[in-house]
Amino acid sequence: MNLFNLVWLELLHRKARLVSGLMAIILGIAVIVGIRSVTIFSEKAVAVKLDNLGANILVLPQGASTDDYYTADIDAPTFPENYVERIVTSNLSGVDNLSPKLSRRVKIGNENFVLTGILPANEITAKPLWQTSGLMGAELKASCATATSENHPSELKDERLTRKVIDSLDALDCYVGFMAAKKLAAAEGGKINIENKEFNIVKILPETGTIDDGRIFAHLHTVQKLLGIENQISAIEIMGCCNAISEGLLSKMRNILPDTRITTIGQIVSTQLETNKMMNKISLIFLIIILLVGGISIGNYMAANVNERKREIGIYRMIGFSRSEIYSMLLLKAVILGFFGGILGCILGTLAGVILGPQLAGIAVQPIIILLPFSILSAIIISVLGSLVPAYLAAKIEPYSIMQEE
Amino acid sequence: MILQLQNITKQYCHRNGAVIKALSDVSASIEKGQFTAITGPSGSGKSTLLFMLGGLLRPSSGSIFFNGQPLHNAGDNALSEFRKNNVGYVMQNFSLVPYLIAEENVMVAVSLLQKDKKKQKEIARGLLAAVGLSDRMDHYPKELSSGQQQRVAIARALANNPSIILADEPTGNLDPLLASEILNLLKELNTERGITIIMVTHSPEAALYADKKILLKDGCVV
Repeated sequence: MNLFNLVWLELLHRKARLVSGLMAIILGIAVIVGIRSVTIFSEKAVAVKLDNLGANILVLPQGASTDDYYTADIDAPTFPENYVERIVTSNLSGVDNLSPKLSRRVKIGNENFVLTGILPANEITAKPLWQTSGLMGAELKASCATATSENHPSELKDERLTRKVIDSLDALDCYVGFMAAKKLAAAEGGKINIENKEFNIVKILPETGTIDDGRIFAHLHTVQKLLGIENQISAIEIMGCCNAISEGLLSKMRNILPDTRITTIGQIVSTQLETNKMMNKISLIFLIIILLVGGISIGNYMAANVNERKREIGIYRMIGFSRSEIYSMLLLKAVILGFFGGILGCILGTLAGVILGPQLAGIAVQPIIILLPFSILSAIIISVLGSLVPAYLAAKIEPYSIMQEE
Repeated sequence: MILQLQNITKQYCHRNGAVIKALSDVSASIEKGQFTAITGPSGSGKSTLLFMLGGLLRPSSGSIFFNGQPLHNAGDNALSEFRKNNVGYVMQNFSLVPYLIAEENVMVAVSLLQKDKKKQKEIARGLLAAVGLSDRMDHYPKELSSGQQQRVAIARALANNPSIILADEPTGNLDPLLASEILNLLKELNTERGITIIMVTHSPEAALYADKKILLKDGCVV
């Protein structure tokens, strides 16, 4: 016989009250776990959706203007093309695809156009420009948010896995943007003279409503030779995972490429960060409410329990239990209640998340194992905090007063 | 002399502000191995005196000594230790824990001094057998008769091998036959084991078992 046995036997003796005492903890923890599960998977869903917006990091030379993310590469100073290799060989995680570019304004006839040299195999079709162009070839493998069962809910298919790169672009082939084609009255299969060089118009690109509509795309190495700036580029477009960006990918890249400006589409990252912050705030608010409500409920249950057990606490004190042993007995009971309440609450909350997540939030939720120890610990803390005063009052019970009442 | 009381006074403050004197200038001494009966009418302070002797209550003034050691100014932990090591209690209402079987009720008291569960069980079973309850060890208090419950309480009182057993109206809830059984058992513990018994009773028949009587009236020794 020890304190644990005594507490256990008492708990089993008052099963109905045990259930009511546990319910406060179970429901409290279930709410926290349910919200947290949905929150975590919502964050992942948002991250994947934001990642799917396409390239979101731009590497520019020092001195380039970054007033407008989408036009920053035009007429920017240049830097060596082998910077691409530096990034690739650095094994940075969260970097999906690198598209080196060289963009310059060129005059054709009396009109100004932007000639952009690209490496076709590196151009990602997630860009609105390529999505409807019908130029897709081999699949591009994404490095973040991969579609494994572990971290990827089945309904959150990573679109990047189905992205394909532009198949090929011969040295003298070019793609003409929708607006540029209109200005030039160009047609597919026709020819176009740029800086005294004849290019075959392979494709007129569909309208995107972006600056790309005014661009003419040709092979990077051809453009470099044409403009007399070989092995130089004016920008590298990178598709980075939003999570990786928010975790400091940019600063890691700045260490690798110190003489460049690395910028990102601020809204995407800030949206991700704001979403994460909001979700965390909601979880925190619920956690505080549950702590208060759960703590008060448990305190109430324990106070009633102490009141009901005054006589037996008096007996324990009479036969020699010290105040600290009575105190320990009550707190041990709180720990046991918290332990089982935490486990059951975690199971209930996870089930609620898994069942209700897809229906209410349109998000597939899977059990998160790490929430189990968190639930147990939280439940124990709630339970113990709620029981401190009742346990103190129990320890203060004077055995003679109870014996005299009999 | 195992217990000595010197000029013990106990006052309570009633919630209406009135001061109630439960004991007034009580002095007495109890010899080791003595069977003492504290008698007197209801409200004369018998139980208050018993609780004081058992370290459950401190006097408002005066001194109590156990084997020469002061109890009147001992701290709460010291009094718990004193009760745990030296005193066994037998109460009128048996004071058994309702959700523990007879064996466990005794084991709780044994566990305070013996941490080995196997030995606790062994001792508890031996004590229950000694009070004639070998066949009732796995019974809950509500499954036992009043006399059997009091025997369990006596077995529990013996768990710490006490030098004193304090009994508060131990036969108050028992019929005359069971009462004499319990009194005989207490007397046996007194004579055979040399345990000092201090029993509060208002029954003249029960008081006959005692070697010494302390008669209280209005909180004073008469």
